[in-house]
Amino acid sequence: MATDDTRRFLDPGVISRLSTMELKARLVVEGFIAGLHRGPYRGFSVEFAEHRAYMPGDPMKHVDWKVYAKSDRFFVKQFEEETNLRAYIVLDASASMGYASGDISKLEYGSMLAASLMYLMLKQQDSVGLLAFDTQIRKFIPPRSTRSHLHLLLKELGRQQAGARTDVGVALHQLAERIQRRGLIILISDLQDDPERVISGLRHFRHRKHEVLVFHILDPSEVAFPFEGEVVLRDLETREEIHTEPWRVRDRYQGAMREWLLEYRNRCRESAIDYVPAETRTPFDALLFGYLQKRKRLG
Amino acid sequence: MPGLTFLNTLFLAGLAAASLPVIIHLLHRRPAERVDFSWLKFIRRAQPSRTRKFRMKDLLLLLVRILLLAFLSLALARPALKGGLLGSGEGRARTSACLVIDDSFSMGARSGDERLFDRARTRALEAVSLLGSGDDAMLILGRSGSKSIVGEPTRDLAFVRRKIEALEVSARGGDVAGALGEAKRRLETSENLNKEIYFFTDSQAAGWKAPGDSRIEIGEDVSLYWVTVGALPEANVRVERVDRVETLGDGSRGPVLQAVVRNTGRGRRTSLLVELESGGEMEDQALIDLEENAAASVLLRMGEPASGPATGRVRISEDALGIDDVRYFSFSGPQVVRTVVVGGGSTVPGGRGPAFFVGKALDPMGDDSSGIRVISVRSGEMPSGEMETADVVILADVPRVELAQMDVLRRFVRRGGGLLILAGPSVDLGFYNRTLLPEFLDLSLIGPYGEGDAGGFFEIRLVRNSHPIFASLEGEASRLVNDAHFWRVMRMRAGNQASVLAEFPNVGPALVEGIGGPGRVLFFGSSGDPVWTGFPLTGGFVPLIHEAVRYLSTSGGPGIGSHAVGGSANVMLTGGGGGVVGVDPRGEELLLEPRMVEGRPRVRWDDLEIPGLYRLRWGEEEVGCFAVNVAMEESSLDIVSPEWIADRIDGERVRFIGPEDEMEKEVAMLRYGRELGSSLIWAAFALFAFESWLIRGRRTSDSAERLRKELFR
Repeated sequence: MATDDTRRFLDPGVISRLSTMELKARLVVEGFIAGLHRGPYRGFSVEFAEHRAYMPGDPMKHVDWKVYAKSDRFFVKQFEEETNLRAYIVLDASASMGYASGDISKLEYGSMLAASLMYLMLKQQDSVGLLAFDTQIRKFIPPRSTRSHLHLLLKELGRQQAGARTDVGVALHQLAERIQRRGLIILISDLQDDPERVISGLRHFRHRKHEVLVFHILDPSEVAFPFEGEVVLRDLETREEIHTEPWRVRDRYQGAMREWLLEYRNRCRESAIDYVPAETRTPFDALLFGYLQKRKRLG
Repeated sequence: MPGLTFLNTLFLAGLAAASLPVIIHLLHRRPAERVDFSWLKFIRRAQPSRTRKFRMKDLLLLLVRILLLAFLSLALARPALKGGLLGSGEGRARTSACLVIDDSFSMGARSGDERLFDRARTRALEAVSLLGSGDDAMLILGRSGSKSIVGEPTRDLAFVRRKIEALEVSARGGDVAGALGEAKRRLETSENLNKEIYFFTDSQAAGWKAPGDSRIEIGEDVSLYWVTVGALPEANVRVERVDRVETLGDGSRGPVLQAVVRNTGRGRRTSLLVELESGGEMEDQALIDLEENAAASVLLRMGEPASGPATGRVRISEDALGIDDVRYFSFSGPQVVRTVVVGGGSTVPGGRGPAFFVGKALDPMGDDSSGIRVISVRSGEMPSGEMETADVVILADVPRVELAQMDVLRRFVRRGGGLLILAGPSVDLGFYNRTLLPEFLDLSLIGPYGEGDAGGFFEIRLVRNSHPIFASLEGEASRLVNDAHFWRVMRMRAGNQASVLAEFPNVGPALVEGIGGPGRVLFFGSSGDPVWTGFPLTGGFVPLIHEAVRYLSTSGGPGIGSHAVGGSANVMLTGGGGGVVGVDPRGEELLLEPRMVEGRPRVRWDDLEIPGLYRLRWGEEEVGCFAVNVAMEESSLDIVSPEWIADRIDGERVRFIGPEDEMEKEVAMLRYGRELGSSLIWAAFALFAFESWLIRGRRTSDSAERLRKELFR
């Protein structure tokens, strides 16, 4: 029962009601892990594996002093998986990410997802940093693996507001140039830009030997286009208006949306980029799985 | 639209629902909502360039929805088209048919090789074959007092066919108005569009009971097919009536019967054999010649004097309409009528009073040879022993009757005895008005009237020529009484319960009969006293007094007259008690329960359907016998034309179908062709499908979910 209680925080609708980003992240991850304990990913976490004899150069902090006290010999604790992953969570904070047909905007959803990933990664001793951008880099926090770093990251996530305009392609190129050390690039964005430019930006990361994981965030109404009657649609960035009757354009819109999403999926696959589409109502565990699969492949 | 009608007009109000799409459209008209959205580039690409086309599509959708609701409303209102072309073949509207087959006995006439009734059955079967699945039928008979064979609508047409095939002609007369009225009443409950009456008949005029100005109402929504099945035969002779007549001076043989035979057809009939049969034996024969539409009377004498009623039949050679070639009779009463004549004396000193003239007229030889035995007694000497055996009592100008004798007289009449009262100058008006007449007659005396032989005279005029007293005189009655002069008469006033048979013009009733029985009572406003009248001295007095006594003598006794087919017999019995067994002409027995009326048993026998002799038995004793005969009017060969019929039927949808006409073609001309309800329902379905196709892009859920499954799996 307790597990079910924790898993309900995987629902974006539920978790969005909480106030602090840290609490949100912790509850999401705990709910996620609770689900994992019943699943195939059991035992992934950083756990003690065995002892080995101390060798010069080993950090002293890994010496097991209890064993030394008993055996008078130096042994160091060897963990099942030692972390050296550097992850950059790249959050799109452009204007289009501010769109919300319901209670949660794409930016809020993306922030919660980013927070959850950060919490999870730091729990695994990975280091994680944050990059927020709209038309350009708005914030950059280099990766760290300390617990205190999480607080900084989450605080910054909580501050994010949707910007004025969107230019994902340019921002990605800038980011690729800025991140020197290879690592895992996790892009959280609605990718509302020319796919060619976005893919170009993502390839830039690949070119620099980064692993790339893309969470493509969409609002449900952007998929279904469920409006009725006559509406005046107003662009979030340009404030341009189009007067239309949704039923007349729905088919074509959905067709265009389908083609656009399929193009991203296919182009990402061609470029060895992991691509996870999601709606702002998608439970977080599905996305965290995406990350874990990626993480597993990275070893 | 000509020929279009609606069966449920109430649902036409539902047409207002057709305006709902417009109303909903107007109610939902509101300014376009402003919505922030992030994918305007897709919208821009998807935005249609041909707005006009979509406007047209909207209008088309609105029109389709209006039509859809209108069609549904119209379908519920059950529209229907009528007409010959549409009525033929499959798919016509449902039909309720009421088949009326005239089974009056004239339909038993032969026309060619078969009877008219057989043709009627064939035509009725043909009419049933014009019905289809979903149609229903009823079957009634057109006889007088119409009878339902299949009274409730049934779709089991095979059952109706079997009923038609099992029908047989009746001995009743016809009643067109009654049968059509019954058919119309039964069709009123039908909800089918086509309501049809088929009347299969010989179009005999006698079937129209009310041939005057009264019209038979059929109704606007009922079709009447008047199907004449064939022509009545041109030649027909009938035995019209049989009466017992008295032959003066010959009481040694059986009663003499007078048969009236009439030629109702065309052409002269010669050497027509008339036979009298009684008890299975041929008693007498006669040969007659008959001119066209003329009648002849034949006297036929029964062989031996019988102690019981005279029963039997008179028949002629069978012709095309055989049922009226026989007439049954049952005459009650004794062979010798015992008549007690109570005299009141003469107002002329030393003269002979009315009792003398009456007695001499009834039995001139004093030897019963006239068939009437006269027992003359004086007023106040009414012997109870004689009264017990008497058949008729005549009070000839009796001033008053003692109270004790009143009781005797009252019992006498109650047991069926006949009473004739002659009022003359001796009667005590007070006694008559207060005591005597209230017992027997609804009559009051006003008093003597007239100035005697010095002041002119009165004559008698017959009011009811058809009364048996006058009818047996074969139209001679008027002539016989013409010579009678009355200088003084008794003025009187007849009540509702009295029947005036003859009158003194400008004075009042002359001869009055009491109604109600059981014994018959006649009151004559003159006594036969020479001071008042010379009637006893004229030639008319003897036959009239004889007929009156003979009529009064048949008030009761085992022979209890004649009844018409289809009627009832209400018979007063002279003996018997407990269960009485009735035996009909076929020999079938029926137990009848008598009920006591004024101290005498009376039985009622209903539904006398077969002509012949009906006998009543109590144990081994025969306590009554009566004859049942067909109605004479029905044997008339007169027919009515379609124009004549059309004038008397109040209906817009009447068609006449002759013996050679094609019924199917005629029926198709009036039958409602097609009920459009189902077609409109299909049209509504088609519109619904079209509407669904038009709005297919306006639904969101399916396409969006498909997209999600494809992209977010």
